[in-house]
Amino acid sequence: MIEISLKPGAVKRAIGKLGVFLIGAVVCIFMLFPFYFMITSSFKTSAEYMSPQPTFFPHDFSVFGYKTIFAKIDIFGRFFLNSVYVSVLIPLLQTVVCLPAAYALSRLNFRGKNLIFMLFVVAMMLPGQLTIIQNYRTIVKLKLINNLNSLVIISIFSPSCIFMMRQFFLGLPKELEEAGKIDGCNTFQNFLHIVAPLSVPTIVVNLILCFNGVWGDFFAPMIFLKQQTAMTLPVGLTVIMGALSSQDPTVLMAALTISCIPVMIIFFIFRKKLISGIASTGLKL
Amino acid sequence: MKMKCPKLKKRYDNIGYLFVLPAFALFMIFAAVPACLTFRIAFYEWDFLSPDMTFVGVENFVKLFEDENFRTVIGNTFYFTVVTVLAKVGLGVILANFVASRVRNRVGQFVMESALFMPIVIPMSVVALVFNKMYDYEFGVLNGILRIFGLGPVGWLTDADIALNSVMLVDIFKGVGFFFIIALVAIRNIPRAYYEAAEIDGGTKTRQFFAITLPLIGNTLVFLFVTAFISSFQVFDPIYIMLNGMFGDTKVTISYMMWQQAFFYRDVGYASVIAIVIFVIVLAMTLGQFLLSRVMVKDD
Repeated sequence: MIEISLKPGAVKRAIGKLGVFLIGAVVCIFMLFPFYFMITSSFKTSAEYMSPQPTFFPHDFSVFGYKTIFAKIDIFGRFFLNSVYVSVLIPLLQTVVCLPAAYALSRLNFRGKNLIFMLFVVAMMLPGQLTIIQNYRTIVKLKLINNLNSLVIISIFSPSCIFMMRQFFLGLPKELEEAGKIDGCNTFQNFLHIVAPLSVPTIVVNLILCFNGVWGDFFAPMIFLKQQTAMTLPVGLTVIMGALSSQDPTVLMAALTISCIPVMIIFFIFRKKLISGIASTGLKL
Repeated sequence: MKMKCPKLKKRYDNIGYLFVLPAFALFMIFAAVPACLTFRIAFYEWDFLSPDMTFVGVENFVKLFEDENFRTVIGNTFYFTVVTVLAKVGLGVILANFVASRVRNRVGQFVMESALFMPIVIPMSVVALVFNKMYDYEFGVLNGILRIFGLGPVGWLTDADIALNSVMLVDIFKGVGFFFIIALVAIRNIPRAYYEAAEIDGGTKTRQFFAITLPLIGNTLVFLFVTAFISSFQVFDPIYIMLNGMFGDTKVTISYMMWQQAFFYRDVGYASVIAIVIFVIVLAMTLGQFLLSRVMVKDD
C-alpha cells in the first residue's frame, strides 16, 4: 500500500503554484490576444470575420487578404520599402554623427564641452511638438515635403544616442587610448582604431533600438509625407485602413501582420540585447 | 638633487570641436533654433502659407485662457495621464515583483517576459489599428465575446463616455512592458540576502514586497513615474488613429489639439502656445524628478 502522506504545507503550496500559473496565464492571454487576433483574422474569409459568432481559429482558411496585398504590391510594397529605407538609413547616420560627438564629450578636453553636453541633455527633454512647427517650415523650404529624406535629416541628431554612447565611453579604461598615443596614434586614429571597434556591441544595441523607434514613428511622417507614394508603413496603414478595410478587414489584418514581421524577427533574435539596452538606458522606444 | 616636477599645462584637444560639430550643427538647426522660434511665433498670427506674420502680442495666450475647448482637452489629458501612469507603473511593478518572486521556472519567466515585452516593439499604429477592429461595434471581437455571454454590445469607440477609456486601455497595453522590464531588472538587482533574512523572520511575500522591494527600488520608481508621465502626457498616435474627428474633438488630448491647430486649422501662433504649455509641463516634471531623486539619495 502506498501511503500518501501530505505534509501540512504541501496542499497549500500546490494551490499557490496553481494560482501563480493562472495569474501568469491570464496576463499572457491578455497581452498576446491582440496579436493572435490579428494573425488569425488575416487568414479568415471576410464572411467568417463578419459573422456574428466570433471564431478563434479560421474555419475556412483563406489567404485572400495576403493575395490582395500582393495584388496591390505597388502601394503596399512602396510603404514597406519606404519604411525600410528610413529605418536603416537613420540608425546608421545617427551612429556616424553621434558616436564622435559622444566620444569627444566624454574623453576630449575642450572649452565649452560641459555646456554643449548640457544643451544636449536639454534637447532630450524637448517635446516634439515644440520643434515640429519650425521643422515643418524648414522642410518646406528645403523642398523635402513628400520626400523620405525629410525624416532622415531631422532624425540624425539624437541626444539620447549621444547620451547612451557617452555613458559607455566613460566606462572604458583610459589606458587603452594612452597606449595608442604612445604607439603614435593621433586622437582621430585612436577613436577610429581603438575606441570605435570596442564600442561595437553598444552601437548594435543602439542601432536596434533606433531601428525599432523609426519603424513605428508616426507623428513626423504623418506631417511630412502627404503623397501616398512617399508614405511609410505606419502612415500608409492608416490610409489602407480607410480605403481597403471598409470592404474587407482581413486585408488590413494581413497588412498589419506583414508590417510586424521585421520588428518581430529583431525581437526574437535580439531579445536579450533589447532588454538590457532598455534597462540600462531607460530610454523609451 | 631635487627634481622639479614640470608644471603640467592643461592640454586642450581642439579636435574635439570637429568631432562634435556635425551633431552640434544638426542640434542647432533642428532642435535649438526651432524650439526658440516657437516661442516667438506664439506672439504672431500666421497660417504657414502667407509670407509674413502679423504681430498680435499676447492675444494667443489670452485665447488659450478663454478657450472652452482647451479646458476640456487639458482635462482629458490629465485624466488620460493620471490613469495610464498609475496603471502602467503599478501593473509594471506588481507584475515584475510577481515574476521575480513567484515564477520559479525558466520557461515561465521567458513566456511572461516575452508576452509583456512584445507590444513594446510593435508600432503603436499597428496596435491601435488592431484594437480599432477589436473595438468595432458590429464586427468587433470584444462585442462578439460579450454576445456569447448574452451581454449587450458596448460602443467601445462610439460611446462618448467610453471612447477615451478604450484608447487608454490601448496605451496601457502597449506601454506596460517597458515599466515591467525596468522594474524587473531593478528588483533582480536587490541582494537575495534581504529576502532570506525576511523569510527567516517569517515575513510573508506581501510584507517583503512593501518592506523590502518597494523602498529599495525607490529611485527607479520615481524615474518610472516621470517617464510614464512625460510619454502619456504627449500621447498622440492612438488618439489620432482611433478618435480622429469623432465627438467633435471633445475627447482628444493636448498633443492632438496642438497638431490640429497647426496643421489642420493652420492657426500656427495658437498651436505654438499649446506647444509651449506642453513643454512647460514636461519640463516641470523632469525638474521635479531631478529634485526628488536628490532628496531620496540624501535620505539613503
